[in-house]
Amino acid sequence: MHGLSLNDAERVSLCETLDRILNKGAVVAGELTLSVAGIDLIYLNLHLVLTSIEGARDKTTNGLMESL
Amino acid sequence: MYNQTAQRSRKYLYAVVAGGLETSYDALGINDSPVYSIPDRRVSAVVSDVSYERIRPERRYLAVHQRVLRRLMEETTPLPMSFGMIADGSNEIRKILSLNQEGFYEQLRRVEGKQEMGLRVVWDVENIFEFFVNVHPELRAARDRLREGQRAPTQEDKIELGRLFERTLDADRETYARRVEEIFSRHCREIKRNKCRNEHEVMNLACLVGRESGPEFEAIVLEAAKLFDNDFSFDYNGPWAPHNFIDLNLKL
Repeated sequence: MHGLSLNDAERVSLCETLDRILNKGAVVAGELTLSVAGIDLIYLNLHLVLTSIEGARDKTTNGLMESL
Repeated sequence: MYNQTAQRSRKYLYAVVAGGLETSYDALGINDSPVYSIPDRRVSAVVSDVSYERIRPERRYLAVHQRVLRRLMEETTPLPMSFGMIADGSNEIRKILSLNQEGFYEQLRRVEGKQEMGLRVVWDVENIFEFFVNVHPELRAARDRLREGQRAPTQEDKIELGRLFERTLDADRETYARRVEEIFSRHCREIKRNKCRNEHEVMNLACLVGRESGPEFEAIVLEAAKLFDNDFSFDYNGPWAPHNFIDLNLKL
């Protein structure tokens, strides 16, 4: 499978598309009800990190609880 | 707090279009949900229902966003939204439309009957630094001074040479962009210069042209390219929704 390999024309067109739909166009500056992609990723990453730390802590706590 | 109803009614926002009619589009949105419009007076938001609160810019979602815009382009000139905007429900959408009615209307008028085309010009040479050294004697002289000097060039010497290269590159870009813009300005409503992505790029322009002027645009590109030799390569792309010609910070 070459699902991720693109020919030059496709790569150029993907670049042009990304540049436009990620960086250009109207945005809503108000983050309470609307979320914007750029901010999302950071939030999402933070969220993942938090989840994994909390998940790990839970496991530790559970493990501790069980061993008691 | 977990709220089933609110989750179901979240709306992913693709674009704003002129006209106040409720419309169903024969296009599939994110996760194959139907695409439709929510109107408020003279403008409508084009949306589809999503369950998420946030969406990652994955290729499959970006492709859908682009596909919906392209579908809208078949019949109108939409104001494209940036990727990733999700509203909590149709009331939120109406609120955005209502608060920004004037701005939307003004921007829609600006792009009505038009589309965006992109033009990218690059130096089609193997080694851009070598090419510049060959074209610009003062750059060559500075390079040779460093090479043939009595002592090994310091970090500062190298930085200084790098700066000279940058300045020369930017000056050339400016000259060539003006030359090209002069030709295009006779045929385009508006031209916007975007930043170059690498040293090979000479210019990256977005042009607002009439919706029917695709073939004409190609002819202008050829006309402009004639003024340049084989060291330059001209590439155009489009049509696009007018991504580069929207100046809107929406109120909420």
